[in-house]
Amino acid sequence: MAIPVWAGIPLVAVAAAYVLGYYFYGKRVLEARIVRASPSRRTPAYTRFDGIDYVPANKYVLFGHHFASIAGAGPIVGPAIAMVYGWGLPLLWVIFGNVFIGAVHDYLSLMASVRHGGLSIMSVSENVMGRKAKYVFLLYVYSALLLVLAAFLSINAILFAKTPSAATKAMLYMPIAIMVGYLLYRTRLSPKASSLIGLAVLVGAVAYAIKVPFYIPGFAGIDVYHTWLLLLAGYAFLASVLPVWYLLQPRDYLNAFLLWSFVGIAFVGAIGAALRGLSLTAPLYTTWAPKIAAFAGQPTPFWPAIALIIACGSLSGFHSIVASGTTSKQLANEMDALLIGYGGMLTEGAVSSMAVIIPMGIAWSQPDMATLLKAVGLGGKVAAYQAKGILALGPLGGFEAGYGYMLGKALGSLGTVGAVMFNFAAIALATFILTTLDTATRLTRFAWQEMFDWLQPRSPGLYRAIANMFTGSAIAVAIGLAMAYPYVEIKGKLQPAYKVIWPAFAGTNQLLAALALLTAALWVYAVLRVRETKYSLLIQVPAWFLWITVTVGLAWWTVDVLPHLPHIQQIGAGTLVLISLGVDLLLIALYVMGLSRARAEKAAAVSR
Amino acid sequence: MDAKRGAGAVMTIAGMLLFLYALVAGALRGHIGSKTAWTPDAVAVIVGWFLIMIGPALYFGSTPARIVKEVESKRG
Repeated sequence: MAIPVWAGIPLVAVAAAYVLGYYFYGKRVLEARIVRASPSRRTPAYTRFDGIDYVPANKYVLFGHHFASIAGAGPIVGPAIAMVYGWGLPLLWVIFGNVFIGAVHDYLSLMASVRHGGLSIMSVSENVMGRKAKYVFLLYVYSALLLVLAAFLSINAILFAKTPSAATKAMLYMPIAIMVGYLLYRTRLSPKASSLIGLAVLVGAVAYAIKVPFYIPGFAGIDVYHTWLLLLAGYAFLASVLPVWYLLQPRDYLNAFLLWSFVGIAFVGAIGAALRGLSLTAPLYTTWAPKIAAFAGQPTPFWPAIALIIACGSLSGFHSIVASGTTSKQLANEMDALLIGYGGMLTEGAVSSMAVIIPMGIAWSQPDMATLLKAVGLGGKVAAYQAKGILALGPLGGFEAGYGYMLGKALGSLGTVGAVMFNFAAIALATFILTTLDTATRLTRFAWQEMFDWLQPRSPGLYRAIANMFTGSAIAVAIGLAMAYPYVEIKGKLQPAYKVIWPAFAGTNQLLAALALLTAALWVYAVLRVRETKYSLLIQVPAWFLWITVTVGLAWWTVDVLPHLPHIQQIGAGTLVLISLGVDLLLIALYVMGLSRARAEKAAAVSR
Repeated sequence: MDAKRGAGAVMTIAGMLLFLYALVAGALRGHIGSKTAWTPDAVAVIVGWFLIMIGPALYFGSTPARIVKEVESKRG
């Protein structure tokens, strides 16, 4: 159905859904009625302050950290792939998933953790589902985090090897962040003056990075990719053990400006496109089950597969680990949590809807796209674009071209503004990716430390040796490196070893989201004692919908996709999915037992 | 000044000098490093980067007084 739709219609729909969702569902229901957040309740950042991980942060700094950590490549790649369904269904899934599932999941994970001394959502499960649930959940998440770590080590190494300007920017970014931290915390300069200095230097650094790429030739017989991998492993270790106030907070404070600019420019561009009368030339709907390369080229039904295709842009299990990992330990005030948890998810959804789906929908098939592609050195792809539309550029190329095209048309010309925005989109993506790497390392360390908490009372010395931050981070980085370093042959091509199990990641991650949301729902029911049916159902129904969607999705993937993968991935990814399904069933059984216990307690209380 | 702070100061100064050298060299040549061989600016930027990450952390050591003061005032 290729009926051109004026760009203002989806834009207004997205903006209205987010504003209404935030104020009516987020603020009035979740914050006021369910969690009953209070500005006077002390957060773990104060009660457990340690100067390393538990440190209070300004809410905008923390928003920047949370947003930059939860947003990897997912909010961009997933929706770009899902455009094969047309733009209507992916946009609907993003909006629905954001408001009713993803943002609820992120906010409740954050608040559940805050009310449990900053412990992870996996440890929160102990309180409502028992001790077994906690350790099964922790082991499952630890394994998933190692996979994330391997993937982001590899993705960053490839990015730096192929785009040397991104390497220059990363090299410059960290010292600037340390300088801003120094100005903010150790001088008498006002935060405004410190920020202005930091931003001015950052703008100069980005300009320098675009002009001066950083090349390395490989080291001691190993190639560039592997050299970057080793350097990044060193960085990930260091960044994960340094105090958060030293690097993470100021860096993410700076990131926030870049990322807000990215989303804000997309919003302005979409308004400009609407005012100029541009339409989405992409079809609203193509087919229910198109063939998708990421699913071994098999027909992929929108439901349940969409939960595996669009992850972070709609909802993601990784968010619950960030929210209940680094974010909850830095939250200074319970009243900041809605902006950070719920608002962070909506902002990421805005990346998917306003920076990917709407621009790609506009740029789907436009005669003057050739001007932009030639201006950014992609003249060789013009013929493919003209024959097949924007999907011919691949998910990342399609995103960059869509972003550049929409802004070029809305704000100036394709050859100048469009080309600059094309490159700006690439820089924003690189920023998302690098921050996720070191946050993932720190989170893996947290999971490791919580896994061994049983040892602490029995043998404090051994616990300190095993679970101190240096050991925890070193083990995480070493395993991540071991998964990203060796090459294996997949489909006749040498690829990093983690790719043997990577096809299972989408399902693993989304299953984690379902289990985290169920845990949070049970926490709301059993611990917060929110037992008014309408409020309880507001959490329980989305949680069960997500669990059913993801479980059916994993079963569909196992039956329809797995047999068509290369043999080595059938073994690797297939094993991981089977383990995931086993964990899924075990935890759901423990969940039902926990819910029954809570109901029995409620009945006993009523009868008394 | 104790040994840890001293080492931190030396690392910070050395890191900044190496980093600045690499940036200036890169600006003059139009790129840092080379695809075929290790050049002094490429080594300098990497070593300087790690020194700048570690050095100030060792030198300053403890949590900034501004943060500690805020935590203590809220804890009461």
